[in-house]
Amino acid sequence: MTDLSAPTTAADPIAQYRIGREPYYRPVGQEIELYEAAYAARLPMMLKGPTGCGKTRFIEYMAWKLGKPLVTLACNEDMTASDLVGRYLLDAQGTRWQDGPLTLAARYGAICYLDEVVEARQDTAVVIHPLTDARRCLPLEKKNELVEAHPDFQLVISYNPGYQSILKDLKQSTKQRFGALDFHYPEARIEAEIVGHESGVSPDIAAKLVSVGEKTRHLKGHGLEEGASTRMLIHAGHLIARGIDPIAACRVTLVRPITDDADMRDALDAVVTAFF
Amino acid sequence: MNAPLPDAVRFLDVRRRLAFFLRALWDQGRDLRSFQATLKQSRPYITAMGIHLPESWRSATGETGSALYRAAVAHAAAHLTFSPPPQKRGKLRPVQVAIAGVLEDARVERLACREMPGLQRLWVRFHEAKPQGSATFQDLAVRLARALADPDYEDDNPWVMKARHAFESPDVDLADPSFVRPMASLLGNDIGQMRLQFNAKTYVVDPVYRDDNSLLWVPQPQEDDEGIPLEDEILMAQPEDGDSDEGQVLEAPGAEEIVGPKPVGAGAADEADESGLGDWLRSVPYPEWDYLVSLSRPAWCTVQETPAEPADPAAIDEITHRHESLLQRIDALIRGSELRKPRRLRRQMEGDHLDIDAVVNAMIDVRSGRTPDPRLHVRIDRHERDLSVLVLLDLSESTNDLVKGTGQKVLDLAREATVLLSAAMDRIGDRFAIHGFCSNGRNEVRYLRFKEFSMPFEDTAKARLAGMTGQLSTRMGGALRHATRLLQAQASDKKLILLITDGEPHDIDAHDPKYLQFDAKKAVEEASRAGIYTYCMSLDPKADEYVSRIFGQRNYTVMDRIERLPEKLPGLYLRLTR
Ligand SMILES: Nc1ncnc2c1ncn2[C@@H]1O[C@H](COP(=O)(O)OP(=O)(O)O)[C@@H](O)[C@H]1O
Ligand SMILES: [Mg+2]
Repeated sequence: MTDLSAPTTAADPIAQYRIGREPYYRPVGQEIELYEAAYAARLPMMLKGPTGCGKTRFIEYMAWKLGKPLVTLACNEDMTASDLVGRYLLDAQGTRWQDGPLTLAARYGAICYLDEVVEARQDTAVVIHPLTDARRCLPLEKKNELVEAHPDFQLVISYNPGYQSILKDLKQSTKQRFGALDFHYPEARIEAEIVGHESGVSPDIAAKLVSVGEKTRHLKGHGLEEGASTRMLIHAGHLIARGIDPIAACRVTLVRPITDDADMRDALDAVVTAFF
Repeated sequence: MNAPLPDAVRFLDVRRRLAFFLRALWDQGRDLRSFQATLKQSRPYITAMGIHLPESWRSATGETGSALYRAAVAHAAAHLTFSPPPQKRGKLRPVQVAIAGVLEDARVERLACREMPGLQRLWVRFHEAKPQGSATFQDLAVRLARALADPDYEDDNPWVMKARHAFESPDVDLADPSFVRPMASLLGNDIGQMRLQFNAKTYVVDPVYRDDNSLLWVPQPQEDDEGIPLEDEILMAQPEDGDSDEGQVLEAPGAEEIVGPKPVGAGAADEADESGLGDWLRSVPYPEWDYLVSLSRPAWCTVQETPAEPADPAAIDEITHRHESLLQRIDALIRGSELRKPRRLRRQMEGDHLDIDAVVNAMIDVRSGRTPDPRLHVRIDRHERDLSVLVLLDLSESTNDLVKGTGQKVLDLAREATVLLSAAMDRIGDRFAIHGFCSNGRNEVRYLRFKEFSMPFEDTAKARLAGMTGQLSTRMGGALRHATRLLQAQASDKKLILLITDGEPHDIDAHDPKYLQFDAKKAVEEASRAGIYTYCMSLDPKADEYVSRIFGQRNYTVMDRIERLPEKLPGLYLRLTR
């Protein structure tokens, strides 16, 4: 949710969405190059991959690199089209139109990142359609306005194909509007570098954490919906860096959060002790 | 054999966690099985069928028995990962074979510990050898095993020291198993010179978590008396079995698909509304995919609609009564996930109509110059679900097998699960049909309809379900294509075929098992192109490989305990469609 009362100055209405410092991003393949080309063509993009594998960090980095503001919105099932587009608000004088994050991005030329777009209800997701084809516009029906997208505007969505609900899959007609970049957990060496950098643990500990992570990922589809993410490994690293025993740290940040099943817990605890 | 010792752990109680452990650390889906330990076979063993572990186990060191099982699985997995294919014994004498086993055990454990150092702790606590006592060969072998597993262990026996020294020599490359044979041969000669007896009949591998090492050697049909006894029924692990082709993608290469003429009777089936008996007893031809030539064979297989024989519907009500409490839990789940009732959400920013109370308050605020709360609407949250589900049951002969420990047939459990699932779908308000199939060659895929989409889940449907029987074979492709066609006639937004099966596709006239697998895979792809999801609930614990090939990585579950199907299926369904 965006903060409705956030100040927007007339000079730069999206100042708050500019990224000042370079975010740490460790490239894992050709993604930077490919994304730059996609942005140059203003191709709407879909970042595919499991949760916690670096999609959000990547788009932050790219927005910084391209010098564009980034408007991020985490989608959820209670979200309505107005949460994206905007709405009239009442105030003491009467009513006032408030742009939603999508409109803001389209109007002023930001990259708009809709995280986990499947979570939004299907009727909500279709409001993005006119922005994703040659029209590049956004009709504000209530306001009776047609917003032409700013030339810098680009729409990016994230999508986790591992999501196990057939009812929540993206409509084919939505998917086809996007170019897609595949994200996976990075290969061990790179993932260890990331875990080390983000949490401050030694390379040796980081490598072990990554091994544990890789092992848990073998169980995907065999009792786990998803293995441990890079994000979870970083969490474990944070605790270890604060002096917590690695086995306890893994238990708290990796094992307990991914399963409630006693047998699975036992097996995962055993996996952790195989490394620490 | 006998009742488990009081503080022993039973295999059945730890099997599931061991399977997770094995899968996680080695990405292995090898089956875990139990056997009754006897004097002749007291150690675990490894065959092409899986890893065999004692039915119940207790460790003398006071360690928990479950750690013992875990140590055994880890050791077996180390062999499966690092040991070379079975070797010929050649001129090796039995004592040398035994020593080679000790060396190989140490070698594979070391290699595993390079990646997973914590395993050393798991294994070493079962090594109890002491550097004293009678110096029989059995004793020395155990001491050597410990010397190679436990760096803190000290032993001044010259033979053990010599062996340890040789093994630890920097010239030895542990990754290359070829040093084991000559080293064992030399150390065996020493035993001969020390005039120590070796009795192959009484020699056992130690510590207990270690397997009998039979997987290291090509079996000798005619063991002489000196040899290590081999159980006749123990199959040797093949060098290239099981997992070797796991990574292969079963994508048929090359050629374009040749689409056959529109099957006869296709038009009729398109109107397949599910009305009366008049439409029954139809036969519909379908193409079949031949992966060897990458061609679709037009009208190759015939699906015959077969009437379902009714029996006493009371049997179905009995199932619902027996699972009263489970049904209540399902109910609670449904309520909890708010799948059912539309909710009135007050004080919303957007909505279907105005929230009068909120509007009045807002007007008061406006009149008195304050900023009003903008949340003025009531929204009806419907959680729109527009879903049709076709439950497709495999009714082949194998469903008549009894499930261990339940006295029930696979088919009974599938029926029970279907009934409970139906109750759940009914309560949610999803449209569903229950169909089943079996086959007798390509011209006779029998297709039975127990419940139609338009039918209430009442007596007719229940009577037919009660009368359900298992026979013949499993030709999945044809049945899936027929189900796809019937589901296409439904108007829902989302459509799902939920297949419940206990084995891989097979039929009397298909001798290459891959043929029907590929065809089923093709049928799943066709369904997907028609906008229909296919999900498979497999009751075959060994199904992983072929099931994921057919249905795709995410679209299946393998039940490790069939007896839990009835309680699991409704939950799976809720998760799948939440
Ligand atoms: N390639 C990468 N470079 C830098 N950090 C990364 C990378 N991949 C993952 N991370 C780390 O993992 C965390 C989770 O990633 P995030 O981008 O939030 O995941 P997602 O958006 O895919 O759910 C990030 O906060 C970051 O610390
Ligand atoms: Mg062994």
